[in-house]
Amino acid sequence: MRTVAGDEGWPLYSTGLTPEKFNQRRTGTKMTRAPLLAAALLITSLPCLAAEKGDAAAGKTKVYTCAGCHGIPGWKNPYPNYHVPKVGGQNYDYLVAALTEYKKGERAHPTMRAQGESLSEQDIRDIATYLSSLTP
Amino acid sequence: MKRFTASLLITTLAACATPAFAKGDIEAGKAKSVPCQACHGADGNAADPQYPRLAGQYHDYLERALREYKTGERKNPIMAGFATTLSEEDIVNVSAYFASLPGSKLTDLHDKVQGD
Ligand code: HEC
Ligand code: HEC
Repeated sequence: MRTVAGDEGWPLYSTGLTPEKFNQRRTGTKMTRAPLLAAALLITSLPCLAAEKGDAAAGKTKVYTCAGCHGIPGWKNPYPNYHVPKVGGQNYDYLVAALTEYKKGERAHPTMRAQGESLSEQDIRDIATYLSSLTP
Repeated sequence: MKRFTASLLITTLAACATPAFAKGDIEAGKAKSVPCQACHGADGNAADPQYPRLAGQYHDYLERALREYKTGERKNPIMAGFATTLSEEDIVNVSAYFASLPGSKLTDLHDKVQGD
């Protein structure tokens, strides 16, 4: 379970509920049209709520070391053999979560754990802000 | 006959070189992807930022992630639930489907770091 500070973007994790169940429980309603619209509006406004985003320019300098693996199109992890994932253009909240999971050891990949451990929470926010701003 | 065999070989090789044909049945994967769309988006480009975008991600990375959720090596209560419903064949197919989707917003960091 996640306990990152400023973790409000992650209610589903702590509850273990599906989005529908979560919204039902949170609003105390079954999803009819009106709450659905409200939920849709809420979701659209979430990026603004999660506004304690980092500094994209700082993030750009901090991803310098990442490019050795994530910067080469088609680059593969050696053992086991699979492509190093594309992280540019990925969603902000998910990137923060993924990097935090490596930092805490909840995701096992050894080199990514080492990367995560070397990053502060501010670094993670800056990097996620920069990466999520990228387009193909 | 020799020429025919040669051209057949070339066609086979060419088909193998095309990633879409290399692995997985995209149509079968599409059918399996219906429950996934609620979170990961109908186009695989999850609009809700808490969910990862899958469209255009490498198929072998997606497969690996799904296997890790299934074994519990990667821990996430939501995805563990979905991954356990998938057979090995489903994992390969659904990964091929998401990897094949057009309009991917994902990119690697080529030319995207300071100094490039
Ligand atoms: C030695 C190679 C290497 C380096 C350097 C590296 N990564 Fe990774 N990264 C990987 C591999 C391999 C994976 C997939 C690991 C797994 O299966 O969990 C990964 C996964 C990730 C993920 C998760 C992607 C997803 O879709 O869940 C993120 C985010 C990430 N890296 C960001 C970074 C950042 C930021 C840096 C620099 C601070 C970095 N990486 C440096 C190899 C590397
Ligand atoms: C209820 C919402 C939900 C549904 C439905 C769902 N997922 Fe997910 N998925 C998530 C979340 C949340 C994560 C990130 C979990 C984490 O941090 O490890 C995720 C992560 C993933 C990842 C890892 C991506 C990466 O970059 O590492 C894959 C692959 C994936 N899901 C595939 C699927 C497939 C295939 C289905 C349908 C069979 C599905 N998901 C259904 C919520 C969902």
